[in-house]
Amino acid sequence: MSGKRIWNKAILLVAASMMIVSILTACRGGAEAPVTPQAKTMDDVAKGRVGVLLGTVYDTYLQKNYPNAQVLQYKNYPDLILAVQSEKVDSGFINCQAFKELQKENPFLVTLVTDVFTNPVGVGFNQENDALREEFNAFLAGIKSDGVYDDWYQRWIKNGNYAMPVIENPKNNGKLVVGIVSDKGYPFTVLENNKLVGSDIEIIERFGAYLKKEVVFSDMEFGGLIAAVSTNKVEMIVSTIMITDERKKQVDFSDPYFELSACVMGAKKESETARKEAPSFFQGVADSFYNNIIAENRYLLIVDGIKTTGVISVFAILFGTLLGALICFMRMSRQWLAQGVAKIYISVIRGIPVLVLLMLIFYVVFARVDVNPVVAAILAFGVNFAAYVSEMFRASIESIDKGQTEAGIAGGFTKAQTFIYIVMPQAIRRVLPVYKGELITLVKMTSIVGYIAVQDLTKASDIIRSRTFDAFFPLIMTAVLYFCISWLLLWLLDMAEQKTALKRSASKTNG
Amino acid sequence: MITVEHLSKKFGNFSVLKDINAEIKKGEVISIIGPSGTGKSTFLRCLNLLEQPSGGHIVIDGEDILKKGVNVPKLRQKMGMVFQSFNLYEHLTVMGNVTLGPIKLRGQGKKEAEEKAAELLRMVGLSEKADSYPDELSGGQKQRVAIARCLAMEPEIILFDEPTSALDPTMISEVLAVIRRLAKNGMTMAIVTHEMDFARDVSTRVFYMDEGFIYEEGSPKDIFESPQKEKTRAFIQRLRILKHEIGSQHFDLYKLNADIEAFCAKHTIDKSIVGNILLIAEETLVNMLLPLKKEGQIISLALEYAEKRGEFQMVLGYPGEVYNPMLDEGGDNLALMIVKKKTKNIQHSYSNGINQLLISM
Amino acid sequence: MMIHKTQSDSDVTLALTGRLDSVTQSELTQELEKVFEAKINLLTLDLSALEYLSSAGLRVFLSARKKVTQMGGKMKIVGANEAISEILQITGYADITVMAKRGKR
Ligand SMILES: Nc1ncnc2c1ncn2[C@@H]1O[C@H](COP(=O)(O)OP(=O)(O)OP(=O)(O)O)[C@@H](O)[C@H]1O
Ligand SMILES: [Mg+2]
Repeated sequence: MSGKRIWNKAILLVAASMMIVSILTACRGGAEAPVTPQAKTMDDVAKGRVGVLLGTVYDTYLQKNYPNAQVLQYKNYPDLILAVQSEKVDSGFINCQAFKELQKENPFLVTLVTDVFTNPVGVGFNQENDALREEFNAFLAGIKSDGVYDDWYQRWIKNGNYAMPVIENPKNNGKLVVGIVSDKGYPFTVLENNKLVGSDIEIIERFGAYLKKEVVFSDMEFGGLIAAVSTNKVEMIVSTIMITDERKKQVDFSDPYFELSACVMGAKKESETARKEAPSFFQGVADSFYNNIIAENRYLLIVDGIKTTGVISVFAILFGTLLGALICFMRMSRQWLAQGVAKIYISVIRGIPVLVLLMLIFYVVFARVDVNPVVAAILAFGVNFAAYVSEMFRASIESIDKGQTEAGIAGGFTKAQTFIYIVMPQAIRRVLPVYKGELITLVKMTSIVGYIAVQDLTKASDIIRSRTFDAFFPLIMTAVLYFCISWLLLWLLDMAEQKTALKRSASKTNG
Repeated sequence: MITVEHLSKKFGNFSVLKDINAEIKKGEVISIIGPSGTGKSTFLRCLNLLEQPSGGHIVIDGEDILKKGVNVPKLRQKMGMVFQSFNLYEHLTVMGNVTLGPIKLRGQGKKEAEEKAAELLRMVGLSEKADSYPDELSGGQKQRVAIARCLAMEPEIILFDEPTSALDPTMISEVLAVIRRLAKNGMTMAIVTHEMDFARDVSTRVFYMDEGFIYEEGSPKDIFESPQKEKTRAFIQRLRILKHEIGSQHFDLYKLNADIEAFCAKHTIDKSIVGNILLIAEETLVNMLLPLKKEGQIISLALEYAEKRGEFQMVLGYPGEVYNPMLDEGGDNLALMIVKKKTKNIQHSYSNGINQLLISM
Repeated sequence: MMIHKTQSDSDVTLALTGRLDSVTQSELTQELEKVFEAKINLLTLDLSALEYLSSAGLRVFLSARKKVTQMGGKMKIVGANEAISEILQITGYADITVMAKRGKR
């Protein structure tokens, strides 16, 4: 029995390696014989504007070898392709495997140069986590020797067969938290029918099964992966990460599980005319609607995104308002210490970009703490919101004429009662217009939470875009949804305002 | 009801109240008069502890309220205060203003408080304005609401700090009428005022404050008809005062002019007289005193209008050596001639390093 | 203060409106300097719309008169209202200049 299995494996292995060789030679051959009339050399390419993905190695490669190339960085494939298509760049640097997939959906893409260079791809670990890395290497050696790896290679990389195999996993050994990028694209990682599939996913799932651990995915921006693993937010990062010396300084890599080759793509010049006759506008919108929302139940993704954005916004507003009130109280206190703390808080927080603040809170403040990124986001936006609104509160409180406070005190109210019954209602009324503006700003600002692996509305639309390559519809839809969320929050605030009978004077002073 | 002993109040090193001794009995109406800046408001504000006195005792119904552990807010509920600037709660209707205290502090139900408030508003003649907001009322109406707001707390005494000073002349009487009615009903009141006729009519006793003391006190008849002390007499005779201080060399003539014009408009003074006042102010300040003024010195100008006699007096105070510009033949002739022609009498005096020029017109 | 200038040959009329005091006198001084750039035969100051005059203004009048006289010309003041005439008289100014009452426009 076991002898037969080994035999089978051997055959598979030989077959697989032959196939790899043949693929590689095929690619090489392709590079020598011009595939399309537009094929170029790297020297041609380097003369123009070249688009690359943020956080990939192409940028460094170009700088080192073709310092004259003008390199533009894009966040994800859809953006990059859009740039190529709309000729914002003359060419796009991309890995050949992903490119093959992208070409299927975007027939206007053409290969300019293939296999510029290859680069090993590995899984990243925290530098203090040798144990897990070693286990992964052992696992990798294991699947390479038993043919599972070859099968994997055949299906994903060679044949482009995206069916995820069923992987048995007893899941009785705890959890394995893995950082990934869900919109990496075919064949590596995509969200299909709201489930993660792809070559990377299969590798992780298999490794999880090997460890008998349940895999928990933490979806983030590619740029956030290394920070996440080096601060132990995740145990390993898998996203077809090319192994480079620079990255090695911060994370330890497993043995390479795959070699990624680099290609240069361009757009067919006649792409416009070659396109199918444009469908009618309504048909187009209907198609887009179907593709972006109905297909693969993508609306679920949007609904989740809205929920996340909503939760972050609402709680950040609540938390920020309370904290802002506290800071305002401290700022107006006569105690120099409280006043000083508040002043420093306000000027420091206002001086830090929110994105940086968000990353600082997630990766530095909570470096050693396992915190839900949504909570970190609420804290970051709340802290930021507080710094701004506290000064608004102060200005509005100070704008209430002191005579009324005096009348309240003289009338027998305590200081606190005077504030609550007399100053605060008027201060709230005065602060509301600017407060509302700040509130909308906050809602819009939450769109950066993707950086710490939160799937909000923007991220959801990015994921959909990475699948449908429709630039227009998801963006418009996201814009509309953000507007709706802001509008809803303002409406709620208006309701609260009317309930507390603060409305009249507001409308009065306008009139 | 209230006994004040050796009350003093300092702002930093500046001693405003030096040694105040007074007694206010139940049912009394006390008018407090005196020149500007002599601490009348400060005295009133010490009574309900809006200002913390620096020393002395304030005893109310046998209890020294400056002792520790006194429930000051509770105490203030029994002492209403009416301010020069009304200080109505801008976000509440007239009704809301009047009922806020009773509801929140005296635990009255909304209905009960509103019924009571309606009655008070009727008393001050503002029944129809119950649902208006303060910014929809005239000054006189605002002040009447402020009085109703005080009354709603059923205070034992009401302190008025120049209740009519911020009002147009046409509205003063409506407010004074309300206060008169309160006096008739036996309300205990202490009123800081510049309305001398009113003070004379309505009060049971008058305090003349000066130099941080109650300089002279007595019945209205005593104080207004035969004041015993020199300063009191001077004050009683010239009552309308405009003060202006000139600190910088580049003084703003037009600001001074505007102040004088506003002051004169308030007391409905004839235009030709206003022109003369402006002229004298300009000639004396610009051509005589300012050229000699040194950095940091302050020239004060007070315009006093004795309404009774329709006479104006301008008092110029300026530091430095003894100097009377009216005798200065070498000075500016044109200016001197103009001033002499336009005035009745000019007196110069000098004390404590300050020259004083008393110009009667 | 507003100054309205009308000129025919070497006869200049300056109509003054508003206040002529220590603040505004410089405006008139400047205007006069311009006027004196050419030879003046008759300088008329029309005060019918002047509301206020102080010694600062008088001083400007005096020096203007001196200048005109030096040039061999004449200066006259017209239309001053009662209060202003009074000031002109106080200083004896009314004696030395030809006065002509003029009705309001
Ligand atoms: N909070 C304060 N800090 C410092 N000085 C003050 C303060 N309040 C009042 N003063 C000073 O105390 C003096 C007395 O002021 P107060 O307001 O009691 O005078 P007043 O007799 O009411 O004058 P008026 O008739 O102008 O209202 C003034 O010189 C004033 O500048
Ligand atoms: Mg006062």
